[in-house]
Amino acid sequence: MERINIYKKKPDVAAHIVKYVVSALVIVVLLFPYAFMLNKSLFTSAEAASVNVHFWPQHFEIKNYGIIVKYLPNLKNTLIILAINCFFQPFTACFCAFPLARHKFIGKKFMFMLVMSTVMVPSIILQIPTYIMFSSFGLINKLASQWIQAFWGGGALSIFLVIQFMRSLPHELDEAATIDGANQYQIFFRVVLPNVVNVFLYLAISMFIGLWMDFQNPLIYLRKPEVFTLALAFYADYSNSTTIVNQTNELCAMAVMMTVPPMIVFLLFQKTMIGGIKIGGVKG
Amino acid sequence: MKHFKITAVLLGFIIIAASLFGCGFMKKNSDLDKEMSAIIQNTKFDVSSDYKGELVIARNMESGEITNLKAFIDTFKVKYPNIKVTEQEYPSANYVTTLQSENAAANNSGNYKNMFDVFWTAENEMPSYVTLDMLMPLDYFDREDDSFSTDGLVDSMVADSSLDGHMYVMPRDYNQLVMYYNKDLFDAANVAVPSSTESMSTEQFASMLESLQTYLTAQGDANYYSLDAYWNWESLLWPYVKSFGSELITKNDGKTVCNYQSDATLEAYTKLKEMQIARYIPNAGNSAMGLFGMGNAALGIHSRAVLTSLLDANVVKNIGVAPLPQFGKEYYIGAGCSGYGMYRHAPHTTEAWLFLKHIVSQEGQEEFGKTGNGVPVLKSALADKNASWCTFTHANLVNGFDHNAYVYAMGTDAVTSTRDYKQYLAPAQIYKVKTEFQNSVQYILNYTGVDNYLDKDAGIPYYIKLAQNKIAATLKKDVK
Amino acid sequence: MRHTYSKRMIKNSLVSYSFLLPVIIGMAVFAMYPIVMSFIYSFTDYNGSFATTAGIFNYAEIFNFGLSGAGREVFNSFKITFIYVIASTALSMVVGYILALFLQRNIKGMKVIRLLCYLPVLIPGFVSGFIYRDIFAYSAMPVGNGLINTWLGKLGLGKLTFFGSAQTALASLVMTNLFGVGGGMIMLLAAFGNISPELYEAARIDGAGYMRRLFFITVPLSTPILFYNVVVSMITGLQIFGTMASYGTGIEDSLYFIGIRIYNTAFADNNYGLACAEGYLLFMVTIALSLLLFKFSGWVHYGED
Repeated sequence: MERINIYKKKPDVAAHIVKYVVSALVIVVLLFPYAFMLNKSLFTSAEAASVNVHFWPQHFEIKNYGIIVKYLPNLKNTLIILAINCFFQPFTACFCAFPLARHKFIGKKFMFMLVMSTVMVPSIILQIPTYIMFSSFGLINKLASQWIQAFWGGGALSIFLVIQFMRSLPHELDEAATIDGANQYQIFFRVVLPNVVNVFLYLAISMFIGLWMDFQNPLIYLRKPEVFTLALAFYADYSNSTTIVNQTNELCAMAVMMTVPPMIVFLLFQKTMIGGIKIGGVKG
Repeated sequence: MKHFKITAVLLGFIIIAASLFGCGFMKKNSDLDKEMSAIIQNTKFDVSSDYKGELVIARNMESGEITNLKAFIDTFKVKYPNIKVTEQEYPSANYVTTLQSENAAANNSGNYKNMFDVFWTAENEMPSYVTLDMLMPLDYFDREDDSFSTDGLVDSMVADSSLDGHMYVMPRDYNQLVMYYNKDLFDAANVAVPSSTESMSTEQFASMLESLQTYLTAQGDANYYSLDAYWNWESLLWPYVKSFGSELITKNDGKTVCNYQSDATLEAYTKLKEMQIARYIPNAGNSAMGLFGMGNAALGIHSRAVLTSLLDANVVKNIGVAPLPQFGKEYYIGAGCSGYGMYRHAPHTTEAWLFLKHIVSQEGQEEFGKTGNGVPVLKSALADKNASWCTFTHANLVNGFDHNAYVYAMGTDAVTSTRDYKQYLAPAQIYKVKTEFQNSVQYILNYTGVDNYLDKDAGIPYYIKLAQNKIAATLKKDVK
Repeated sequence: MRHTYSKRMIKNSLVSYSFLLPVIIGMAVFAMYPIVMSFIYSFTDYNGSFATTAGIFNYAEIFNFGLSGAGREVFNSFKITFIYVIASTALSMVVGYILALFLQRNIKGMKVIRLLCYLPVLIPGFVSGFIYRDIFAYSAMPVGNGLINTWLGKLGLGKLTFFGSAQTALASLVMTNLFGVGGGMIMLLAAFGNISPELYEAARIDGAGYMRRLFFITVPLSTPILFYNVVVSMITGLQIFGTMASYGTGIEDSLYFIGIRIYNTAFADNNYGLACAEGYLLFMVTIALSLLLFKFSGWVHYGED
């Protein structure tokens, strides 16, 4: 969205400078943990094991980054999971949010509360029954356990987000299409879905970032090293050998490398996510 | 009315669902003796060496554990070549929870065909497994099998592997705390290394630390410390405070009480704090022993289990070992073990029992000793001067590395374990008490300063009182 | 009260439900069993392996406020969790909104600046624990201080106790949460993107200044997302337990959130049944609060003109 900055008279220049200084400070503060992680990835083992913390690396151990070579075979597993989840979760979220946002139907409020209530149960107590259920489905140790949940709406929170975005769309769009004789499915695919591309992308990217680094869920269900995801393979190695050589520097190197793909995705899709798409010819 | 209908529908839904899913997790109270005799009936005890069978062993993925189990399995296969052994590996990070989840799933379905038979367990996890009924009481097998007896094993380790009169775990090793030293640093500081045959007294220990520290401070490197120890680790903390006369939990007139808040505890912590102020130790430490391993500490307190890791790091080139020094007015050493248990619903009990016996057999213990990762729990192997565990050698060990330190004072009253205080607790209380116990030393070392560490409101007395109150509150809770 | 539905309404409802099929199937297959089973467990003494008796003793235990009961601790955990949820939701909403407003301009390099603000969110969980610990560690001794306290010490200023003192631990946690404010920023930017520029043009032509445009166009039209943030922050905040890996229960139990308490009850005490009962109590609280939020959501303005 374009905002034309009209530079006004002198007092506002001072205000601008203040704004930018404050913003720069904010960015420096926000960036600090990441910068520290970056620095730490260049520590030697001795520095990482040191009792005293320091900010700047004293030697530049680039070889910490070589650690990723060991885990590249697991990249395939991660990519499979990501490909399935990052498309189908947002898609089914939009699909299921459509009637909740746009239609009136019997039991609408009840359905909405029902869907929302599934996330209100604390996930901690669901751990063992979920494991028992997955076990009876035969999904333990299979990669399918990580993407089987992609097709069912992506969780109540995703659906809720799409509802909020969809409700902001003007009703004239739907009405115009109905007048033209479209049924609900056509309205969804031709009219509504193209308008929520930004939230679709937002969900896809959030999924990407979340799943890319997630090791908690795979840790519960995956056991054979061949099906480990990248994050899990690294975490398993790190937690398996915690004596003597303090590996937090390698851990940070791995973490830095893992933030690069989400960064690239973010940069590429920023414009589309934030820009939104306007339909010509309709006011609002 | 509408709400009533909805809630009625939901409740009906739940009831229907409940009856559909069944209550496989409900267990009827049954007689352990009867169950065990049925299991014993199904187990063959007198098998020949060409017995055909299967065995599944669960372990974590630590490199040390992989080596250890391989040693046992390779020699087991020599004895019983027709028993197929499969290892199931689990990431260390979630080992206990994953095993427990698998057990929950198996209990629910009633189908144990794919479960493991034997699994590795650390000593402090055993009470939790027993509560969940995941461990087979091995004393029944012991009684039935005439060829086997626990008499040949170190008594304290057998006691540690037992609970409520039943032995649940077959101990694998005898793991005692020792003090490693970095000979190169000692030589540079011109300080005599600790004796391998006798434990240091408190005065000798203090003066050694002082001499070391004088040298290290003169080097100007803020990273050097005299002693690297993991103080908020109960295996070290318990013998430490006990040597000053402190008690954590005792029974008074049949009631379990906590009397941690005492002069003895105060003295123990004050001495520890003063060691920190004199810069002998940095803080409460961590399990990695990175400070000693990276050559930044002259002394390191840990157990045998960390030896190969130290050697593989290849930073300290002249490692020696000595018995634990005396900290307080009495001498105590901590010792514990890890071992292997049989799964309560193991599908192959015959093979499992054979394997467990093999672990404490001469062949098994000898092969295990070669790895350097542990001291045998078999008394005959301990006494044998030519056994593999005490002839283990490595380029990074000093000449004359005396393995005797690992069994120093074994069998005497000086050896203690956390079972001393855990025996009075219900399994559900152990975690909380242990956490508060360990936290107390961490708070004291981190949050009390040089000028206020004796303050009643902000120093050591405050944190001792905190631990005392928290533990006492835990004891008052209802336990099942 | 019986509704009589027109044939058209029924036909439309069927179409609507056809859209809802994936989520209905998903709930029936994947959510129903765990939710129902954990509800059943809450009425037994299930320990994670088996159960022997059934009854409402778990719920009685939660409301047992004597010395031997769990009541005091459970409600203390609720108190800490509520304080945390209110503080962190309010702060991250305000800070996130202001940040999003700033990042909305399309000046040169804004793409990169947005990325920089988003970076802290990308720090993986297993690393962020000790990164933040290394930054914020407090020690009364010269050794063991984190970066901030080391620098404060070098500047001759006093140290900040952060997580080392029960009084400051919760506030420090709320503060470290603010580092993640970039995450919500993206959503807000997307929401801003949905506002048609013609509205702003019309307003500017009418002579409205920045503040008027902000409060009469931007804020009202982004209320759906603000509402989403409030609801989601509350729901996820009430269940927070990830801090256990880094800070345990906090010094003197200052960070003993109800989520952590449920986890400890389930896995450390092996009292899964009681944990389920506590979990369902949390569930009731979450539902009640959500219903309240939805009831009082009149301030949310959905996009028709």
